[in-house]
Amino acid sequence: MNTPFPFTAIVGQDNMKLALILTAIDPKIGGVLVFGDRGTGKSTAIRAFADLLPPIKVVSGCPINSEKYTDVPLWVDTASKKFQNINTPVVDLPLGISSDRITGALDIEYALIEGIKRFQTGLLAKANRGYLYIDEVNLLEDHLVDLLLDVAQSGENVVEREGLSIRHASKFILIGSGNPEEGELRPQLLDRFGLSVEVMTPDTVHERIEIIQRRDQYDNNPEGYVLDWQKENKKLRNKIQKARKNLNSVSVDNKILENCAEICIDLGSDGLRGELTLVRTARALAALSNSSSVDQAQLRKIAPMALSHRLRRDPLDDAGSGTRVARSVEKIIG
Amino acid sequence: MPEVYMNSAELAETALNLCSMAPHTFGGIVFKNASEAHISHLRGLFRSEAIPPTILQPFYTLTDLVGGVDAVSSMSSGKLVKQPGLLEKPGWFIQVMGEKLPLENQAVISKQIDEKKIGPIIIFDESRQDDPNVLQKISDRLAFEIDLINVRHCDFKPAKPSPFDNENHQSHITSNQQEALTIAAVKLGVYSIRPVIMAQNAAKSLASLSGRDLVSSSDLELASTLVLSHRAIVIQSDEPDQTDNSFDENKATEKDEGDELNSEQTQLLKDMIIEAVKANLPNDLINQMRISKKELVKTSKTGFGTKIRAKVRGRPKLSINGRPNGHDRIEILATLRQAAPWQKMRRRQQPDRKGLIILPGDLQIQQFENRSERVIIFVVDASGSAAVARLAEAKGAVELMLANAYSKRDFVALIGFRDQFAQVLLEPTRSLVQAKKNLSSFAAGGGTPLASGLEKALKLSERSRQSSKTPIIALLTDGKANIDLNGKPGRDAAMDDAQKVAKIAREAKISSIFIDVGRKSNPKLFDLAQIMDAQYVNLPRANAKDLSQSLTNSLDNA
Repeated sequence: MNTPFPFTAIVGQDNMKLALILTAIDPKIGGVLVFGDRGTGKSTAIRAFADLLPPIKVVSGCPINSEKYTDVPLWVDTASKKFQNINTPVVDLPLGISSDRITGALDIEYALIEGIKRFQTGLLAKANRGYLYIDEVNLLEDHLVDLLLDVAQSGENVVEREGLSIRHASKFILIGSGNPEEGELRPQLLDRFGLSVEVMTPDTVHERIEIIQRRDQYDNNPEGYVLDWQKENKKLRNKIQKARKNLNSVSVDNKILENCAEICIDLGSDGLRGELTLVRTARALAALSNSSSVDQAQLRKIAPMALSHRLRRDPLDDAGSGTRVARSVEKIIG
Repeated sequence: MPEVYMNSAELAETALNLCSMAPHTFGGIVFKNASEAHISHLRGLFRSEAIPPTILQPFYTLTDLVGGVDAVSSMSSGKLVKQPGLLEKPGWFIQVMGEKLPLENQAVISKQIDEKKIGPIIIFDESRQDDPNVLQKISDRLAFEIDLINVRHCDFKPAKPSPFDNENHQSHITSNQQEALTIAAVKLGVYSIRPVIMAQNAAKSLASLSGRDLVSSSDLELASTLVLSHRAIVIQSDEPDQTDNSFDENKATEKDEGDELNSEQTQLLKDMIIEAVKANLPNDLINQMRISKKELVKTSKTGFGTKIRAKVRGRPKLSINGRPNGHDRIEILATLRQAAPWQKMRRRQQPDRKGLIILPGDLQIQQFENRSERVIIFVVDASGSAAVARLAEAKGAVELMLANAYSKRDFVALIGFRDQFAQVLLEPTRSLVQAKKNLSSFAAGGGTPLASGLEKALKLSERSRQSSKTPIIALLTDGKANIDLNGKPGRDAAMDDAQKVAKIAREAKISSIFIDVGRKSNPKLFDLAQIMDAQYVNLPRANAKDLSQSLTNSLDNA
């Protein structure tokens, strides 16, 4: 009953799909922010994406999905010497969750009843080496945002409370989705996302009908439908794995680096994170399309998603930030 | 064959049947404006069921809903006792007082619906018509909504949903019907895809209910009435679209006509669907439209979470005795301190228990103090047209507000506009001394660059938000704008620019108050206030004291 809708069968939303795939190729790009109205298939895409990702090898019994036995933290006593393959973790962070559940905390019940001090891991442990998905990220409470910012930046979760002093790796890719009508995101958190895409309701009747029809087929026979698309999904998965291998051999020449810098200067984006993301994302796209170096067309394609959320808001420029980035790219690359 | 133009009772009955047939497809039903009699009838329907419905109260905590550790009985028994969540129960759910349902509960229920883990849910939404719709998040996932406002309770006797015995029956929908449904939804202003999928499934289920293999046109009509009519915002004629919808209407229409997608049959079906939906809409559609548009803006303005936030951050206060509820933090140290003196006595009573013996009554809950800070941004017209004396009064009002601000923790900022541009006279401050110093040197006279004043206020608001203060703009002017953003004179351009900035301010959801200080109220300023969704007050002859008084009043209401 819970077979997710196949990722490759999602109609349209190419930008969102591309952004997700690129972060899977190079996790260093950082997270993806998906903004859009209700019912545009944000959640569907992200849940489907989880299903598409290649499995990872972990030490079995390790609560933080360690890759090697030496990575298992000392406080863990449940890890065995065996390894197992699991699906890439995609952890949901629900609204209204307490900070204890995110970072992990003293196992209070255990402490009070058995009198033993034990650490109960939280979602940040579960999300290590995977994805952390926050639906309605713009409604997240401030103190949780602060907490996530810190961990996302350092890749390490530190718990110092109630006499516990625990740290463990927590490297995850943040995926946020939300509806901008319901609230804005703080600039610090915005910057932390590598890519941002805006999804719209498909605006041609053709696409809409296609969606309805595919959904109908899926609802009639979910397992069968997933089977039909399995080949496509597998193809994409192989492509991602190949691109991961190619990634390091993709070269970026000085001309492209110059272009990146010029675009960022022209847009006046704060800090250097914009340039870095721009280069990384373009390289991931080059790896995906099997080319050995980054070209300007690739740069043009990814510039809006890498930069549009880093612009200073100009209250008097009505043009969307995506348009502003495109304009600037046009000016510099020509 | 189902009768297409049904009354509310029949619609409700059909909706109930559909939900019990495929709870995961349709989610549930929202009943609006249900009276006591309606509610008791609906609740009565399930009373005799083998599995009684689960009643959900809005004040239930997340632990109540999804389960967790029952700390209280764990402690009294000395063993770990888990408590199952209410949402895990089988059968129907009835959410009473839906209008009070906090966002986090909605999020949890919505997630259960998305993951198809929960039975059909009935929500009674008792909000009034112009209240903000707080249920948006969850009601998007429920297929049906039935408004009982004009339904006499003696006319409302839907029957109990009958068990559906033909589970594997599957009906099919033709691509013509799918196209018609999609286009009709667009024409009705339903841009989200989810309802269209629901309507499609409803049509199929309706056909299955009557044992047909193919969806008939009356199935399609009824399905659209049930799923789409309460979501419709516009009825599109073939004239160009007048509303400023984000969806590119014309593009869609052009495309479908250009490609000859509309076969005659599709066209007919589409018109039929629209007619069916129309028939079920109240007559004062225009009014309705306005309300729903306003709702969109208002929802976010109510600021979800101000209440939620208050408890979990801020400066720690003394902890109090309480029960754990999955949200508040238990303060270990205080709890231990509470339990310590009793250990010897308790050990005597329960000699075989290990560790500390802590009873539920010992538990201490961490308390936080968190008052949100406001910044009141005064935007004051110092032009020649607004009497010079106004400025003095405004200064006086600012000082008065500041004098009170210390107890209220409000910051005050002042922006003056005159001649060509606006100027920030006073950065957000709580210092009365600083304010007095900065204010004394500002002269009056010249043109009225209203747009520039609002722009500066907007920028300042955004800055205050970044330091997590809530901005409130208080504009004092007679509204006779005559300088545009570039500093050029011209009444029309000046007003246009002001409206542009006002639109942005509305989008930024900054609460604002306009105080018209002109001798007569200025309709243009009133319009501007409407654009910005601001309160409008006409105070022709206010002195500093009245001004600060009426501001305080409106601020407390804001």
